[in-house]
Amino acid sequence: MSPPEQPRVLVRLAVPADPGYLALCRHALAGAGTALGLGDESVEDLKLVLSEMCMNAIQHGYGGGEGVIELEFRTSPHEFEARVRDHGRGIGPPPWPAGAGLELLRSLTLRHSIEPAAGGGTLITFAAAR
Amino acid sequence: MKEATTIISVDGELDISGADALRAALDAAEEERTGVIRLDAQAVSFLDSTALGVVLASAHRIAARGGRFELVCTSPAIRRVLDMTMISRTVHVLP
Repeated sequence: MSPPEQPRVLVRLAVPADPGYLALCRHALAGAGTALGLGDESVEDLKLVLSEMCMNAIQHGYGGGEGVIELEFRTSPHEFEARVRDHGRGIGPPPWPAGAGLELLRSLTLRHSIEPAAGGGTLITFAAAR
Repeated sequence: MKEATTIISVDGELDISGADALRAALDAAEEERTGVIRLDAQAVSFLDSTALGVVLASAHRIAARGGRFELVCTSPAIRRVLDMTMISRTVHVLP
């Protein structure tokens, strides 16, 4: 039996923590997802979640100040995974205050995680089935 | 008699960067105090939670003064979000 295939990085993107770049982030995800053959519904769901997570990084991670958001899209035979990382003030332990973004993250993805990033900031990972 | 309607048409991607413009357009429409305010979002391809919040706040204000807020939306992706967030219970979503 061959070992499970490792996830492959499709896209790495770093953008300023500025709402004006949200559309660029969504379009990058749509391009990667469509190239992988994800369905329209899945791409739209992932775009929305990505946009909300980037907005969280802007508003909560950096408090509206300057910063960088790093995106990474990965693929494995069965999943498409997106990672959103900021270098902001970090996130405390759960429970987190309820918000539309977190609700969408929970309900529109196959799996998700929110964790402190190595070196500071927050790493949010979410995935959809391929 | 047909009720007077104010129609606002929006297009493109509505996220937090366009939320202020959307809020201003809805505020201006609310000042006209027509019975029905219709937000035509048929040409909108993306709607985030901030833009949804702006729409919902306007819908609540209009309902509170006895008016009717309608949202025209044909994008299946946006309709699904409206259903999921139960906004379609508060806002009259057309068609």
